[in-house]
Amino acid sequence: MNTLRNLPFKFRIFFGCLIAAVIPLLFTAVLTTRIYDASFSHQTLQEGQKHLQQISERLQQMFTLCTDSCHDLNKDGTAAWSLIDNNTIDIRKDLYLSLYQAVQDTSGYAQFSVYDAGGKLRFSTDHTHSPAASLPLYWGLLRKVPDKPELIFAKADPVFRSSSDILLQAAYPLENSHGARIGYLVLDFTRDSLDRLLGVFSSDKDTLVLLDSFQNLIYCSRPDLNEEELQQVLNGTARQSDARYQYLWLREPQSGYYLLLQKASPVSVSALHTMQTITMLLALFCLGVCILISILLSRSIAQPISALDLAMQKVRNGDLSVRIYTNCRDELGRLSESFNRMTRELKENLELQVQKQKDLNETSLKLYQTQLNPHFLYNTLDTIKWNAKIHQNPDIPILAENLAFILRRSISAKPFITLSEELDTIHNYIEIQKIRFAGRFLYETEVPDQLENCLVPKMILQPLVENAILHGLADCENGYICIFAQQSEDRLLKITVTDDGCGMNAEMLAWLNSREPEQRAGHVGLFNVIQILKLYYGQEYGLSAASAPGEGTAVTITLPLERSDASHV
Amino acid sequence: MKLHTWFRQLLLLPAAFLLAGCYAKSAPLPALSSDLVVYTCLDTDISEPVIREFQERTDRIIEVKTGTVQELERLLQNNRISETCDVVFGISADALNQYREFWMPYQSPCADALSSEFHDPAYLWTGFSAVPSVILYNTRVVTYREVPTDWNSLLEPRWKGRIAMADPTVSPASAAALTSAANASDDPKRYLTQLAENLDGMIFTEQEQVLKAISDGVCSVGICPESKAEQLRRQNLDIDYIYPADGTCLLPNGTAIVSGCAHPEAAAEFLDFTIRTDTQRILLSHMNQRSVRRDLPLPAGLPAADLLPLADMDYERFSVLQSRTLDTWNLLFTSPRGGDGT
Repeated sequence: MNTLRNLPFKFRIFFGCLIAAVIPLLFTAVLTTRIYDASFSHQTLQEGQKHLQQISERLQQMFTLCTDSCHDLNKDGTAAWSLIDNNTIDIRKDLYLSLYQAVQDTSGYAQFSVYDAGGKLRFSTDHTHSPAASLPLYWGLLRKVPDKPELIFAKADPVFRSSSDILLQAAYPLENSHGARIGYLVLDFTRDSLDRLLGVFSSDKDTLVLLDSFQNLIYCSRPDLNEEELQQVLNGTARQSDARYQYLWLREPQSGYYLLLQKASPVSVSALHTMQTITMLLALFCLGVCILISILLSRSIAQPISALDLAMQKVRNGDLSVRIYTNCRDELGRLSESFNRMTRELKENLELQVQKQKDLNETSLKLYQTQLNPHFLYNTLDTIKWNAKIHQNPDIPILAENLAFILRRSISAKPFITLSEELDTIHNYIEIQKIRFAGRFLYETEVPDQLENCLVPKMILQPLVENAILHGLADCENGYICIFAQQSEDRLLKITVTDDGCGMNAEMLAWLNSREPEQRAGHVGLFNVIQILKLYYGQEYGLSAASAPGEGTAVTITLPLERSDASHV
Repeated sequence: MKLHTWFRQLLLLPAAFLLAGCYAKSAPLPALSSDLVVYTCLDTDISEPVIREFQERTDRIIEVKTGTVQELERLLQNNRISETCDVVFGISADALNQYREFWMPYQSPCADALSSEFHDPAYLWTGFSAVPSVILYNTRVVTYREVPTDWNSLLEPRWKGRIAMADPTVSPASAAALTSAANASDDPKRYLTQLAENLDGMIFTEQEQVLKAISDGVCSVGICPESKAEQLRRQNLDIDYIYPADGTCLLPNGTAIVSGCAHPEAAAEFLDFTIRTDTQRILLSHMNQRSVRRDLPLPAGLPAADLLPLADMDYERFSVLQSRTLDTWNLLFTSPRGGDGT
């Protein structure tokens, strides 16, 4: 059962359709053939039984007629007189008249002969097959004649019959008026007469056999049968095994003789085989059509479902651009169209979500970026204030000019600027910080010309430089800050801000170098730089730092190298 | 009735139709169980009337098996005779004598009426009929001067290609006649060689063919049993026959009860029947066979056995002589002509 369930859908439909078509077809074909066969056999049996019964009745009638004729012959005394006096013409004439009458009464089936008490032939109506000149009284037919007036039948003895045509004989005692036996009436039944008597009801294809009470053969309607074929008829009757024929038999009650009928089927074996062959051929043809239709049907059902299944797999793997193309307008076609609509809407929805997320990220970025400005503004303004108070000097315009430049850069709409522009911003920043931390550090940049037009997020370097000034060079009197940029082999832009200050502690270093650093109080700027880099470029980009206490710090940002002439996504 | 029960029955109906094969058949003919099984080598026109008469008189069901002496010998050599039949009937005396150890001794009440040469001294077998071999000739083509007188007459050049004889390897009667003929001469092997040359290929497979060849004049002379020759003579055909002066054999055929058979009583009853007066009379009157009884007169025209030129009949010796004769014959003569053979 599990094997069935695990079969592909197409095969299940195919085999299901095939079985649903083939089983009734085969069943019908076999049933039809068997019904034909059964009805033919039944009909043959019915006809055979009827024929056999008719033949038996005919045989009985003939026996009765013969008995009556013998009785009449004995009664009229002509036979008795002729045995006594066979010279008188009138007596002989009367005898022959009686004998011929008897022949007529038996419809010519039997020829009558008169034998005297010694078994010698005296008179006979049979001039075709001369009867035996004498019959022994101690042997065979005449020995069986009873004392009472009864006709007894026996198979013709080949020793005593004059012709092989005589198959059956009967004998009747002739008695005089005192009841003394004076002779015998012997009746001969030839093949012709038995053919006429028994062959009326059966056809040429049937075989009728007459056996005596010991099942010895007396008569067979087909003399052309050889011994082997005759034995097959008898064996068929005994075994009932030959399908070409029906074998029937009955026992004639009066004589105890067996009547066997081998009845041929009304439909010949060849016709039956032809019918069976045609039925099987038609069944095979229908089987072929069933297979074809099953294939087409299973394909028409399974193919769209397989396509749908395949498309679902692609959708699961993230491909929302997959579409199912179909010309069907049925349920499967509508299902495919619904699938297409669903994936399209899903894609649009996803893109919308992505866009929203991008917008949100942009907003967040902008928000992150604006977080930078208030701190700077506060410090710068504070510096301006104290300088103004103390010195009353011309630094204030410088501060203001640079501050203005920085403010303009920070509020510009462009999220990305070139590296040279960013370095200009840093330069403005440094100018301001130099006034604040006059003479306490040196600043320089080492950026190759070919990298100056690389695009970087705006204000990305300022927190690093600020961090270097405020933390790295906090206790230094002659610090050094350098920004250098380089292009790595895998087309990444690495911008490093180094200082020779006090260095960074291990914990801070670990935080900066961690894959997803958490927000830390007091290091909002660095955190924002990391977030901006990751939001814009992906999780694999960000900050890395190298530092040792007392040996300075190098903080590197890594981002994809994009020049200002390429479109940014 | 619930729907599913009805439905189930509806489904079962065609299944039963298919599986059972619903057409009716009549009952088979009841086979009659045998009360006695008889094995015979006799022609059916001799064996059938006897067996049928016995059947009708005793109401016993007889199963008849026919075969040749060679087939009987195979059954005996394979020790299968007791499971095959109860009694062997019409077997030549030399074969009965050769396999005497297979027979059950039984002396019939009628045995006293038999001549001593027609039964085994220990009554292991009992004779049924006896038929001498004769030389048959066509009276139209054989003048009275040419009429053969003995076996040597068949070697005369005038008869070359005109002698009819049944194949002795197939016909026991022919084998017996050939044995008598060969051993009547001083040099049996020379006699057989010359006879084979004189036959010139004219060997028939059946006795009936020999009779037809002579009566039709195709052959002038021939060898056959007396019964066949007498049958032709009684039909007033142009044939006659002589008893070879140098000795013919009067080899009887007989009946023996198989030792250890299933129906010994019925077999004994059958043996009794074969030598009854009326059975032996029928042999004489209608089958042209000589009776084994001393007390029955021969039909007119048949000479008594003591008047016949009979060869010495020691069955054991005769069996050996016959075997040698057939061995020599097989070397000399191999191509039978005509007929299907039996």
